[in-house]
Amino acid sequence: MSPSSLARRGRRRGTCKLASARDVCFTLALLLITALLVEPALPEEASAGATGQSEIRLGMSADFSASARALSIELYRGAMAYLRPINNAGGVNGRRIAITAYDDQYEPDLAIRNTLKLMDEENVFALFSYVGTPTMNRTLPLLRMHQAKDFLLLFPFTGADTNRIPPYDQLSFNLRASYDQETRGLVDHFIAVNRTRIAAFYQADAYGRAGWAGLREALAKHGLEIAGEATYRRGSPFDQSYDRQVAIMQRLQPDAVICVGTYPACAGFIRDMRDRGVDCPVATISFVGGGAMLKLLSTAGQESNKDYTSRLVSSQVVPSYDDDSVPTVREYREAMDRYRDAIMPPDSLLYPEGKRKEREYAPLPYGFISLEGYLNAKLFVAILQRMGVDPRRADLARTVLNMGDFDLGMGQPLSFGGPSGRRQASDQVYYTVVRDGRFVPFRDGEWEAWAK
Amino acid sequence: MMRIARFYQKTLFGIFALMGLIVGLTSALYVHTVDRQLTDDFLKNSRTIARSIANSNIDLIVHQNYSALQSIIDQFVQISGISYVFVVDEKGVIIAHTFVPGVPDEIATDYKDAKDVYDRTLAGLGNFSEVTAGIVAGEAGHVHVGMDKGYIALQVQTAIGKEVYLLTMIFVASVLVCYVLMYQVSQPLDHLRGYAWHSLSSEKHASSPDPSQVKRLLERTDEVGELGRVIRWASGRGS
Repeated sequence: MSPSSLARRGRRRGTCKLASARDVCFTLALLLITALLVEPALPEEASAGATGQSEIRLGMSADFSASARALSIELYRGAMAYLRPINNAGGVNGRRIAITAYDDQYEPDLAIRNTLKLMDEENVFALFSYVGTPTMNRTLPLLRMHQAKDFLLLFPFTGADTNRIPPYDQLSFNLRASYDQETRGLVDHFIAVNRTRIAAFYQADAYGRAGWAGLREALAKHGLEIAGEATYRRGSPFDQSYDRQVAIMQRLQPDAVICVGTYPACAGFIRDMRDRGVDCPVATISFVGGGAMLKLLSTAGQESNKDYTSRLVSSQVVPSYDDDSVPTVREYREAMDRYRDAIMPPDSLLYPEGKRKEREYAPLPYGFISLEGYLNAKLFVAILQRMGVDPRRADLARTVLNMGDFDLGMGQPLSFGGPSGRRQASDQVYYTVVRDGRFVPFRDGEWEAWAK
Repeated sequence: MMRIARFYQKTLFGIFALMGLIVGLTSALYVHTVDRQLTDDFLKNSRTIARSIANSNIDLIVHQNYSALQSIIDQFVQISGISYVFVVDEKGVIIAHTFVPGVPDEIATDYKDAKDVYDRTLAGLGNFSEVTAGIVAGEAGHVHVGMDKGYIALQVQTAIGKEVYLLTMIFVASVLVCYVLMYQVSQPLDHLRGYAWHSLSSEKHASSPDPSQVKRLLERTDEVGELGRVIRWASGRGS
């Protein structure tokens, strides 16, 4: 290399240094301007939920592996039975709908962790069909903290008041009637047949307390009080003895008992109650998981040659899955028949410690809970269709509140919004009793048979 | 077996007695302090919990959101030593509690006096210290938090047990060290005694002292060596 070229290069290098310094400043300025321009859009982008995605993800936290797993599995199956054909047909406006489910074992701390993951890592469009009051109760403050991101809890499987009254009433929408409405209906019917001494058997947690509060309020309207109460620990199995609780009932001699619990505990309590001769009518509410409870009671009844299902009434928040006169029920039954095993949650969710034969879950052909899951999914799709081609999380609440009256084919009026800003679509409560090994509607006139 | 000169045995016993006394008194003082302090701490903690429930959940009580209230009290029962929590409204009705299979009769019949502390014995459950805190100065009700006295006693006993174990270990180690030191002090005297018997007494011992031991004894610059040299001189004069 010649000295002149070296000199030229040196000069050029000097120029380059100046030029690169200018470039760096220019680039930094550009980046800064871009950042300033882009930054305000980030929260909106983050809250969009579905923009630019080929699928809409719903986040679900529920007990898939512990004591209340039948409830969550059936709810999930019902929702998937509706979503599967929708997705097969290309989804809603070209977007498939997926449920990202996490197991919380009905434990509030796990539900909180799952919710954080669903919001922060999965960036789901909405939280959907959470199962249980204690889990939901602990999740709502979290939603409130993330309110700026517009996350909503859609159609939780609980009738507790927590998400229906301040301060958390603006964070969710419900399809089902509340526990207050269920217990009020049961109390009114019992009192109408002169059964005024009503006792409570309930889970010693937020769920049980919600039912207890509903029962107390319903009785207060008749100028009555709860005749007495017995509680059990969450997660208590069917095999456990409920003698201590039954002893309380024996002492109280109630005219009726309303159970606010899950299927293993309620079934165990009813079995022990009947074994010890306490034969007053017993009522359960929708969360019990009627199908799973019936299965336990029928098996126990066959073993001991007793009928544990007589004088048992169960309130429900969806029509009977046997009622073919309801269009949605017909659709639901067809979908459940068609997808039976294909709509099960993944094994990794159901059997976190490995699949074992004795722990294997046998899905129910039909049930109130899977029907509720089906209706939840159907309602979500109806909402999504109203949100147009570019659904955004920020628009979700407004869209639901603008729905007004609508029909899901349930044979009953449903509505959101309106002057009172309704966030619960249905107020309907149905009553069922067991006949020939299955739940059938219990008509108003039939309560007379239980008159005291 | 290391034998200590009789000359020192009383001193050794005195040291042991003194150490024993120190260990005993320290333990007694510690038991008293820890018992009082831990019990006070537990009661203070449960009072803090009761106040925190009472002060932070007024809205839930006002809105009759009993389910959310129950969620909150359920979290506190997970704290070790807290056995039960219950909330009473302004009409004296228990609106949330953590009892299974039900509110014990002893409580159902006696909770409305709004005492600061209830000492309870619940059949089949044990003994409890129950502290209370007023919601809106008691106008909206009270929160009751029950601490298991058995748990408190166990914690106190564990803390005391650890301390007493440590002191006992120190005592035993001190006794052994003391014994060894006293033995080392008394050994030259023992040798001196044997040398004196051998050198001065007409009744000679069966075994004569080891010459190397005698040499080491007489070479010592302390009082023992001096005495040894005096004995040697005296035995030389006598012979």
